[in-house]
Amino acid sequence: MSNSNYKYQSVLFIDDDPITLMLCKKVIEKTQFSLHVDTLTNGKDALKYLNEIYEKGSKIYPDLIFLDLNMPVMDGWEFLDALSKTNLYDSNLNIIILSSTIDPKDIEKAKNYSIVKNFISKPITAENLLRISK
Amino acid sequence: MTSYYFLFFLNLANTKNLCINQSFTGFYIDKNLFTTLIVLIIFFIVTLIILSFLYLKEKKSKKKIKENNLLLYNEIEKFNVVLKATSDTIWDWDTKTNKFVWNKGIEDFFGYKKDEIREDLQWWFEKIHPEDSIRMSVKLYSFIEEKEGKWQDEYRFQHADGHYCYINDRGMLIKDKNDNVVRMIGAMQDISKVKLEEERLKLLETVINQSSDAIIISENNVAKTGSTPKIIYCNPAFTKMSGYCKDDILGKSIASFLSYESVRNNMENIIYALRKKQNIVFEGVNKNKNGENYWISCSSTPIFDNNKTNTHWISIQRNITSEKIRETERENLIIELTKNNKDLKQFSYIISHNLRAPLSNLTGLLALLEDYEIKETELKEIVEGFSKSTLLLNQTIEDLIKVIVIKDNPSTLKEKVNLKLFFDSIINQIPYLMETKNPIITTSFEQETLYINKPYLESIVLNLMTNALKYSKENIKPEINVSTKLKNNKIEITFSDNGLGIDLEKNKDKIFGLYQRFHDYPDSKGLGLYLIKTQVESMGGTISIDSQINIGTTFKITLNNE
Repeated sequence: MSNSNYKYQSVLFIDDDPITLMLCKKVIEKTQFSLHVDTLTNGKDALKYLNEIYEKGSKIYPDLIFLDLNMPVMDGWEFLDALSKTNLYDSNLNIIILSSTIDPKDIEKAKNYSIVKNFISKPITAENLLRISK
Repeated sequence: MTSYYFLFFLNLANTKNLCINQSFTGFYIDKNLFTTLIVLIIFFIVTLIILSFLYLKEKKSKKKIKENNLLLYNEIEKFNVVLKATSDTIWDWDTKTNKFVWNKGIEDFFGYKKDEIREDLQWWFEKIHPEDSIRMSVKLYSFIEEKEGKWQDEYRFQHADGHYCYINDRGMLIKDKNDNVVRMIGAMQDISKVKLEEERLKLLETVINQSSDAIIISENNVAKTGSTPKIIYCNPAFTKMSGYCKDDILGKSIASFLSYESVRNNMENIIYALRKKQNIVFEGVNKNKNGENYWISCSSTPIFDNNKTNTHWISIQRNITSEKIRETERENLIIELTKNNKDLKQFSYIISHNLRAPLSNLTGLLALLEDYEIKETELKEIVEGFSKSTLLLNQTIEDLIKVIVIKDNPSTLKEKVNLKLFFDSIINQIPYLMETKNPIITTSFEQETLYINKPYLESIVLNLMTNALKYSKENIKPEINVSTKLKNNKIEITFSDNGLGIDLEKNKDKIFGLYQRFHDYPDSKGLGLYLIKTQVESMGGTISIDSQINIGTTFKITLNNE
């Protein structure tokens, strides 16, 4: 299987639920959505991870970042707020919210962040991925 | 008399043999002639004196008459002025002849023309109101009988235009030397205005006395004594409300009935209003005689006299205790309900989220499982059961979430929906049911497009459609008819089928209720009609149902056409 079959080089999942992460990895692999899949379990770790890339100057960010909203330590909203205060916010980061929230206010709120490119309701499926892929 | 006097002197001359001719002819003056001359001279002098006396006397008497005339004239003038100035109508009754004479007042104040007035007693009585005439005449004649004091009476007297005026009549008797009554003179005064005012005041008094609101009049003695206005009147409502008798109340100020706390809360405003002489409205707690508190709403208004001096204050107090209790209860209830509602909303969001999260994993995992071939039959069955249950659970949660979302976010977003295309897309969403049931679907849309909340309409029609297909009669081809009509600027969507129908007699009240199932169907969740009703109502519409068992069901949805 050559690398060219993959739609993306790398994606990052930020979610505290290991089953969700496992499921996402499987779906990504099955659909050949991305070559690499990284996972982190809260916003704080994700912020640290992205900052390290920025400081190294490599500027090789994940092509897509799937962000859960409901997480311990630092939830999705806190992560977005913290991110918006950094230099990273204006870089070409693409964030997709992947949440099981049903509150329409969440969808409206997400529109306030220009960095958020899409909003997917869990679970992640092949159809969902098809919809957001380039 | 003068001629007698002259003759007297002539005789006197003759008796002295006086011959005038003789004396003059011979130029001879004898003694007799001289005497005669002297008598004549005396005669002239006396005559002159008498004449001058008489002249002076007459002159004096003329002057006096003139003076008297002037005096009389002045008196008449004065009398006329008084008559003109008075608003009284004067009458003069000759009791012997019953001649009855009126002054000009009968014309001026009662509008009668000269030729309409008869100068007899009968005419007067004719003009008195029939209801008053007997009482009045009895009083009048007994007064004449007694001949004592003054007469005064009130009665109604007819004006020339027909209406009756209230009259206050005062009269006095004139008697002859033998103490017989010969005349009676009276003065009529129109007191209609006073009477009307009296009646108005009586009415007002009734209002004040009957009022269930306390009405208190206080005298403004701030300037004099520096103290708050003292109560000089209160109506029965205040004595009832406060429990105090009038004597306890009069002389106190309205503030002295307020509880300590209410005084503290309102005193600043009350003092300000007193100083500025402004109306003040406040709520407070009064203490009654038994020491019990009662809530009042009080409005105090300053009253000014003609000199714009604030003389009195009128306060109206209403007992609002029961209102206050209700208000407090209502406020507490609202606070509690709002909190409960908020908690419940939060709770339902958390529950649905927490349910959704693992459920979505289950759905995802089951989708992954489809790639694996399961050879063992029993395991396959288990996985299938697992899959079906997950699907059903997922649908239920999705429906519940829809209800929660609708309840919390009333529909606002509307878009143009082409009915024909819309309906085709609905049918495409249920290929399995369409294939297995193979229904006859007829549509008639009066208008091509609707401006509506599309997701809601989709959910409603999809729900109705699946219901119609699921609950169709066995061995009979399902027939579904959908139509829209414009009626009185309202859109009427009718959805009918020839299916199993619902027993409305039994289920009328719970047809659109939550978790109501009317058929034994394996994946029925009892949510559909509840969701439909919630969605219709959130769009400001209504839904009704007509159904007969084994004949079919018709749903009618009415929406505002905007």
